[in-house]
Amino acid sequence: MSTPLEHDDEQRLVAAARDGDRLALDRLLRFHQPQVYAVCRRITGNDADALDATQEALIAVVRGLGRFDGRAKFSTWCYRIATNACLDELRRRKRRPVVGLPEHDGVVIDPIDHRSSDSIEALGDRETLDAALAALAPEFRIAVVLRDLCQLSYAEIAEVLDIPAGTVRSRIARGRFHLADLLAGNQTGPDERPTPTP
Amino acid sequence: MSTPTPSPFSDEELSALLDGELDAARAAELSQDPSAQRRLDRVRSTAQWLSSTPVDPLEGDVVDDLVAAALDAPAAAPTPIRSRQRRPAPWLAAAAIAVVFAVGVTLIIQGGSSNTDEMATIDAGTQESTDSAGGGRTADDASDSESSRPGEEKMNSTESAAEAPQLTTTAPTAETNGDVGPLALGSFVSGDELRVALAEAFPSDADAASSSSTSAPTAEAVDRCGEQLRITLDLDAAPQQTGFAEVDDKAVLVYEFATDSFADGSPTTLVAAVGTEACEQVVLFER
Repeated sequence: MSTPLEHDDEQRLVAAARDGDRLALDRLLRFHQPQVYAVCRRITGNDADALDATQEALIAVVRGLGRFDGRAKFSTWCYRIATNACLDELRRRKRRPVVGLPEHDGVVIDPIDHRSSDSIEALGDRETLDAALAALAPEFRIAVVLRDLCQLSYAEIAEVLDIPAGTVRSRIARGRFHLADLLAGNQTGPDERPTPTP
Repeated sequence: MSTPTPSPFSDEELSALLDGELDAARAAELSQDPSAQRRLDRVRSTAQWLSSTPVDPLEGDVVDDLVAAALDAPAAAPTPIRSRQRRPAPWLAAAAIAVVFAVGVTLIIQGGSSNTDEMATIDAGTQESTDSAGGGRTADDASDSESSRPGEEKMNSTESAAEAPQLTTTAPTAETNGDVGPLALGSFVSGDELRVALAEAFPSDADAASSSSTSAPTAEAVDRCGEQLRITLDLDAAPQQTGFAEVDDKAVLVYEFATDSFADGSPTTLVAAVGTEACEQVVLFER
C-alpha cells in the first residue's frame, strides 16, 4: 500500500488533481486502489470481475473528480464508486453465461467445527469465504464487507450506500448472522429464520 | 420445571454491540445473558474471520495498467449502450413518419369531403401523437447525449462506474414507444404510508396522475433499479408494474413483481420501493 496520506495531504492532492495535476491524480489513484480492489474482490467474489469493477471504479473516480465537493471523505466517495461499480459488474455477470466458475446459488459450505474457538481463524480458507459471501444477497454482502473488511462506521456506510443508519445496522446484522449460519452448516437464509424480538 | 426462555436480544443488537453501536445500558444487560453471549461469540468470530482474511494485492504492473487506463480514459463517458439502443435509428424514424403520412392521406381520401373536419381532427391527433412521441424522444435523446453531462454534473456523491443514476425532469421515455410508463403514485410522509397505499393494488392511472407531484424518472433509472432488485431478490421475471413516488421528500421508484412467496412458495406479488439514485430499499412487502 502507498504511504499513508494525512487528511490535509489528501485534500491538497485532490485539489491539485482537480486542477489537472496528473501526478497528484496518479498518487490518489494508487493510494486508494488497494481498498477499491479489496472491496470489489469481496463483493464480486472472483479476481476477473473484481479487476473489471476496479477498472471501472478508477475511471469513474477520474471522471467524477471535478464534481467531488469534499463534503464526504475522499475514501468514502471512492467506496461509493467502487460499490456501484461492483453492482454494475454483478448485473453484467447475471446477464452473461459463466463457464468454469462456480455457481454460488444454493451453495453448501463445509460446516466449521465449533468445538475449537479458533476454528474460524484456523480455517482461513479464502475460497470458503468467497463462497459464503456469494451466498449472501448483495445488499447484505456489501454492508458486511464495508463494515468488517473496510472497517467503516455505520454512518460512513450509510453515506456510501445512501441509506439510513438503521438500515445499515440491520443489513450488517442479517449478513453476519447469515454468514455465521452458513459457516455452521445451517443453509437457511435470514428471511426464513425467526427474528428474536427484544 | 422451567423451560428455556428465548433470548430477548435480537441479532441486530448483538451485531451492534460488536461494533460499539449499542447503548451502554442494553450492552450491560446483554453481558448478563449467557445465551446471547454465545451468539455474540459466534458472530464475532465470523466478523473477525472476514476482517482478518486479506485480499491478495494486485501485482505492480497490473496496478500500473489500471492507473494508466484510468488516467488516459476519455474525459466524457460514452453514451450508455442501452440508451443508444433505445434511440430509434434514423431510417426507422423516417419510415415511421412515412407511414403516418401515408395513413393520413389514405384516411383523407377515403373519408371524402363530408368528413373533412373529422379527418382533420384525426390527422391532427395523429400528428400530435407523433409530435408528442417525437418530442419525448428528442428530450430523452438530449438527456442521453448532451445532458448526460449535466446529469453527471450533479453526480457529486451519487457516482456509478458505468451509468450514473439520475433523476430527470424529462418525460418518461417508456411512453414514447407506446409502453405504459411508470405510474405517478404521489407523495407520502413515510414508507409505511406508501405501503398502506399499495397494500391492495397499484392505484389506477387516473388516480395516480392526479396525486403526482414528483417528476418522472428516466427509463434508465427504472431499468437500473429494477434490474438491481431482480438480482438482490433473485427474481426471474421483470416487474409487472412500475411507479414513482415521493417518500419523506425523497424520490423513490416502486415495482411490483409476480413471484413466489418467501414463506411458502405460493404465488404472490412482491412490492418494492427503492431510492431513485442508489436503488436502496425503502419498502418491501408481499401482497
